Amino acid sequence: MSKLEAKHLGIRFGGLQAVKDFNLTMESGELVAIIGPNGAGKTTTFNMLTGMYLPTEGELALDDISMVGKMPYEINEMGLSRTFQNIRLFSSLSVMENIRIAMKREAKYSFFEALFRTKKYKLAEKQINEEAMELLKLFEMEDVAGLQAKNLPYGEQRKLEIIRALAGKPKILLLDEPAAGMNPTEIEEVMGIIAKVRKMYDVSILLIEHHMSMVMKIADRIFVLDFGETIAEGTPEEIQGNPKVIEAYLGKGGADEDE
Amino acid sequence: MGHVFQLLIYGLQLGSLYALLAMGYTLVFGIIRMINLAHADLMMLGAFAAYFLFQWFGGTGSMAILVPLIMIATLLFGAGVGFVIERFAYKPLRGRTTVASLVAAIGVQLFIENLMRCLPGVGALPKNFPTLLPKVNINIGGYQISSVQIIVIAIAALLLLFMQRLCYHTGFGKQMQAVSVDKDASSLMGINVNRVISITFSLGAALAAICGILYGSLYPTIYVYMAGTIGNKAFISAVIGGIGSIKGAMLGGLIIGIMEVFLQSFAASISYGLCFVILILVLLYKPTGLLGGKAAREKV
Repeated sequence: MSKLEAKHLGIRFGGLQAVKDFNLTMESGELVAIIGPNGAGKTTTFNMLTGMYLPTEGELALDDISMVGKMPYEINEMGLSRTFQNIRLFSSLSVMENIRIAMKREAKYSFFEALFRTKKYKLAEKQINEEAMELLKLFEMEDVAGLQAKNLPYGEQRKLEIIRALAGKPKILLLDEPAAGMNPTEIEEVMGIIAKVRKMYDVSILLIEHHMSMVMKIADRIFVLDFGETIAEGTPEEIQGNPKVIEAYLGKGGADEDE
Repeated sequence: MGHVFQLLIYGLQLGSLYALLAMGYTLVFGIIRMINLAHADLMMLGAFAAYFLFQWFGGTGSMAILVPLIMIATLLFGAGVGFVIERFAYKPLRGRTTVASLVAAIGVQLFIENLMRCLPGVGALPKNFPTLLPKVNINIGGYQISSVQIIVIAIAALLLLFMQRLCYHTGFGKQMQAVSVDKDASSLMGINVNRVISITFSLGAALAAICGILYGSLYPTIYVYMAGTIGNKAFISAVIGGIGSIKGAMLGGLIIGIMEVFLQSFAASISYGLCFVILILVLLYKPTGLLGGKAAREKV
């Protein structure tokens, strides 16, 4: 069981309050979505959660251990992993290597064993490769394991990002617009992948996404941000009927028309 | 034919020194896209470290134990200095323009050279490097090869093999590659980027320091400004091989070393200049270097 908790989280860039008073408690296995218009502070929130930005206000904890001030790699080791809005794979490395880099670096062999390529090293290497391969097989990507990541089609690159984030066996998975730039069929596929991840792994997912149809279908709870403030929070049904949300998306006139 | 063989040995010994130094340039460039102009000065520091260690401890114990100890101490010294330089001169500038770190590197170079010159016991005058490696002449088909040459080439080859294995077959090597592609993403995948960069710097510096001992053993005159031409040629080697590429650094070093020796035997006065001709030709026809990838297009 793991719990991600943000209390009154906020960040200020000079005079701009990018995110203000963000409160989130995530229980194990939950899928929470953050939606909001462009510039609402969704990715900024992700960047605070992963340690890329240092929040200027509030608290942030994973399983009651504070994450504020920790380096991104330390937060990753605590069990938080993410994908990126604009794909950031290790483009010149192979699909397999991308996965292997993200796998937890348990000391299966020493540095010198690696240098001299001892039996133990080869055995451990084989095991790591098999583990990575298994993960790829699960998502039907074993055929492209040897390809350079940059040579994959766009949809596959997005998929690889998700698998790479999973390879570190995270407790919390942050997905930043996993369906960006995809067509309806591909979106279906991404939803399938997310469903699979939830079924196979004990992981909570925090999702940023613009495709409303997708969010409404898969999210347990939704947060709506606008100008850095949380304007609504609730189940998909509650959010769909919330006038404040409609106003944020369509402007005041849109909200009036709807009523 | 025998003459060619002898020149080839000279070329190999010089080339392996260039390759060791080029490795440092290429590692640092590969990982943070920075040209560390002060790199060759680590070689000078290594040579002087060994020089003083031998002055202080020479005569105690047998050479067979003392020399390896001096080498290890020099290696650690080089790694330490590399770490300190990175930590205090380059790290604060990371993320700024490339020019900032380039200028910082020039500053570090001037600082090291002039600091050494002021130190008591060093000064600007050349020093004779002690004979650390056993010197026996070996006669092969009427041509003389010194045991020093063989030992230097062997040590350099071992170190290059070590680096090759390190970069391509260890977890740390993978981390280096990942950091070189994308620092932020690496960090979010659980890689301690600062640590990887520090270790990379220290590795390059340690190689340079050992290179100082090897250089001193072959050409036994050392002085504080010795880094100049050697550093230039090693840097050219790295660029010719494809800067950022480990194998490229080795290949480039050997090419420049062997070319230089052969050219010197025909026309000594133009051999240095011809290094640059090779550089220009390579840059004209294959701008990323012989083994360089596509991604090396970088403004400096």
